[in-house]
Amino acid sequence: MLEALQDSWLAHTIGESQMLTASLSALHLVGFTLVMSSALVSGLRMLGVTLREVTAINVIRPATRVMLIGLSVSAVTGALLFIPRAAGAAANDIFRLKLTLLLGAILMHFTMTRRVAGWRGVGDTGAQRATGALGLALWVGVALAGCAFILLE
Amino acid sequence: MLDFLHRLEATGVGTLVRESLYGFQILVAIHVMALMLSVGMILWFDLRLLGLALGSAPVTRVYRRIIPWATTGFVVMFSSGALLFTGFASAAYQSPYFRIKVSALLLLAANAAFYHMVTERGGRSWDDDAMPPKAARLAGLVSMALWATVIICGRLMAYTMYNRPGG
Repeated sequence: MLEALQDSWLAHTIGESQMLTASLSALHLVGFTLVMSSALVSGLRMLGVTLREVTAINVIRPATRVMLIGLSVSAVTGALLFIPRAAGAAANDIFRLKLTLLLGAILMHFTMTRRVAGWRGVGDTGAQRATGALGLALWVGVALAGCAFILLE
Repeated sequence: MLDFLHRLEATGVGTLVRESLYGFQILVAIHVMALMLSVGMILWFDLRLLGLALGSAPVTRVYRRIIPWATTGFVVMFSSGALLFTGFASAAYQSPYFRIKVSALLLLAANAAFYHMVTERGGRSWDDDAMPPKAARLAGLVSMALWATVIICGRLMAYTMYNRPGG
């Protein structure tokens, strides 16, 4: 199936145009910068090391909106970049690691982080800091795996 | 100019960046990660200026909280960028995307200077406002557009300059 995808008209159009590939890659990075921006501000606030005058939930809420925009842009551009090299990428360990970490980071943000940030009362708790640290580690892992995938092939 | 850039490329640092086995890849990764930190954090000050986020905290307070992270990222991004430039100085100098990227960075500096020296001067009166005045909102919007330009041109440069995939 991946070979068929790779042989499609769309795959040839993207794969044979350096400018189209470069532009998609540029937009992919812009989208991912929005994602990382949200991940960083969320994680650092949960750790209690920035913007302590704003409640955690009031940082996480706008961060989640920006993250959704970033994820949409990078998912569409990422899928288009994947098509011309579908079989190779799917078999690449670093690419698989990137997608696994991405899935973990998204699940973490949309379940744990949002829930824990909404806890009222005592302010910064150990649970908030642990959630922030784990979320940050996952997102930084996604970014590093993304760099490694494109730079080491 | 090109003569100077060729000499820069021929220095030990330039050769190391260009020819070491993983030096180039590690530098690019550091450059991109530092960009994420710098631009990623600046974005939240831009969104505060636009009245789109963090409205419960004063503008100057958000700035003070954001700027140490953004500056740290910027210093690392600039240093790693300078090292990468040393390895590919003449090709970068001739790349239209590099020229647009550097112009956008200069415009970002001008935008920040104008904001701090002119717009912010009257800031005491709107520091607490969830929706800052038009001039401040414009500064945030211009910053976001210019940073997007920097990122896009950086990526286009990489694809058109080194003759190596994704490089």
